[in-house]
Amino acid sequence: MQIEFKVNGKSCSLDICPTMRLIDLLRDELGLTGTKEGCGEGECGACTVIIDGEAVNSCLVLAPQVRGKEIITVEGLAGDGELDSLQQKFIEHSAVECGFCTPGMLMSAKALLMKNPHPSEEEIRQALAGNLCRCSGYSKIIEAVKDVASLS
Amino acid sequence: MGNTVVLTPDNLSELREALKQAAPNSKILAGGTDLVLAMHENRCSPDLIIDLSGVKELKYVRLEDGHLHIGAVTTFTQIKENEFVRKHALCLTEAAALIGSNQIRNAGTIGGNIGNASPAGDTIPVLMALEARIRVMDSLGQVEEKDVDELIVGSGKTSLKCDQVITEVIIPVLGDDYRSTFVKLGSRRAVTISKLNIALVVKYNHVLNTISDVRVGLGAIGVKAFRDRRVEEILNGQQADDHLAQVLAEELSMTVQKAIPGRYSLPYKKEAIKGLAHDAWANLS
Ligand SMILES: Cc1cc2nc3c(=O)[nH]c(=O)nc-3n(C[C@H](O)[C@H](O)[C@H](O)COP(=O)(O)OP(=O)(O)OC[C@H]3O[C@@H](n4cnc5c(N)ncnc54)[C@H](O)[C@@H]3O)c2cc1C
Ligand code: FES
Ligand code: FES
Repeated sequence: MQIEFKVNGKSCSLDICPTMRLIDLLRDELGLTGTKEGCGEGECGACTVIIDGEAVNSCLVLAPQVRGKEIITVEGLAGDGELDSLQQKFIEHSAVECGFCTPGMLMSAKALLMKNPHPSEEEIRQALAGNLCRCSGYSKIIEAVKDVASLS
Repeated sequence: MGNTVVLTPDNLSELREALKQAAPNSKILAGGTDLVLAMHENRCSPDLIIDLSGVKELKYVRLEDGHLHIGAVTTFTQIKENEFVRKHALCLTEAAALIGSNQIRNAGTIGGNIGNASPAGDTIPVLMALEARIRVMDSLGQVEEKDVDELIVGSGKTSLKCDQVITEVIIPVLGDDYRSTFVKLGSRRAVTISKLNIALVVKYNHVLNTISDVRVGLGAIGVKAFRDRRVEEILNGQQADDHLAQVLAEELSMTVQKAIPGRYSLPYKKEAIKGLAHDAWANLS
């Protein structure tokens, strides 16, 4: 079926298999492989993208559901060759180890900051509760987000 | 699944038209947090999917004539953040806030929680305790209202016909003299499916310090959530003191023993529910 939507500001019109998941549409059809599949069942958050301002698990969205919607993936964070401040702070705080969880962490944090530019630590923890990291122990990730939240 | 058709109505009249094509092997799709996973794991392969995500008319919370009206496609995030729900049905706010993760709450809907009919579905005992009615519409536009208990008939089973869809949840608002809460226990502190959950609603008389109109909804014990009328009777009219919390804990433990005799999870659940009962009680005061 034919669907139209926007990804990272660009309009797309695609003929898709209607039972495909959004994560497969992004990775396999559009080559946006920054979005990762960890568990494939909504538990790990590696596949998190932002749809119309809300963080969602792209492994649980059916592709036809994004008709008319605006999606932001991790590829959409950096603009004009410049890293988003979240990406910059993740690097400064060494919040990235193997990096598999990072795109999802960034998108959950980005969705939070888009709604609430100065969240409390508790709000940050809540927003990231659906993102698992096997390496970092979380504190560096929380610190990186707190750092961005304290920028004016 | 190669031949699956997905219909994408954009409003209620297109939804009715879409429902005319529904057959036993079709599925309604709302947030997808249960259905997309079931399809991906080949537990479900519908021929026809009717996607509600474009039907914006089914996303709302309204306060009208002493009732909260919640559209079926309203997400848990919208419910958790809604001031009417917080003021008039706090246990539902608490349940929505405890569902899954932020990502799950942003996609998952109240209609999907009911339609999925999981024994562990968190809003189900809450809606039972709130005496909610569920409005259902068919392909001809005919509307029916049902109790949650009539709508959900077993684990994963509803009494909906294939051309019927849940459109609205209607909740009589709790008066200012009511208190309500929802508590759950899972295998970890956050982002967890319930192993036990309790919704508790009471009318509190602060002059006499007594409770009445007690409603206890229990989930994740057996195939389907239920109201514990026996325990409600025991609590009605009693003094709201620490002794009563103890009674609640012991009696709910008794209910668990009667509900799932011999089940492997019984030794755990009959003890765990006591702690959960004390948590619920503490939230009310
Ligand atoms: C990681 C994870 C964590 C979760 N945590 C929780 C939790 O803590 N508590 C909890 O209760 N659940 C939890 N769930 C389950 C799920 O998120 C909920 O059941 C949610 O409410 C489903 O809503 P949905 O809109 O995503 O439904 P969908 O997946 O779209 O649909 C679910 C079922 O309901 C039917 N349906 C949907 N809408 C309607 C309608 N309007 N009329 C008729 N039938 C309909 C569908 O046909 C399907 O059978 C979790 C799921 C995941 C993946
Ligand atoms: S891959 Fe989607 S949540 Fe894990
Ligand atoms: S950095 Fe390896 S999973 Fe988070």
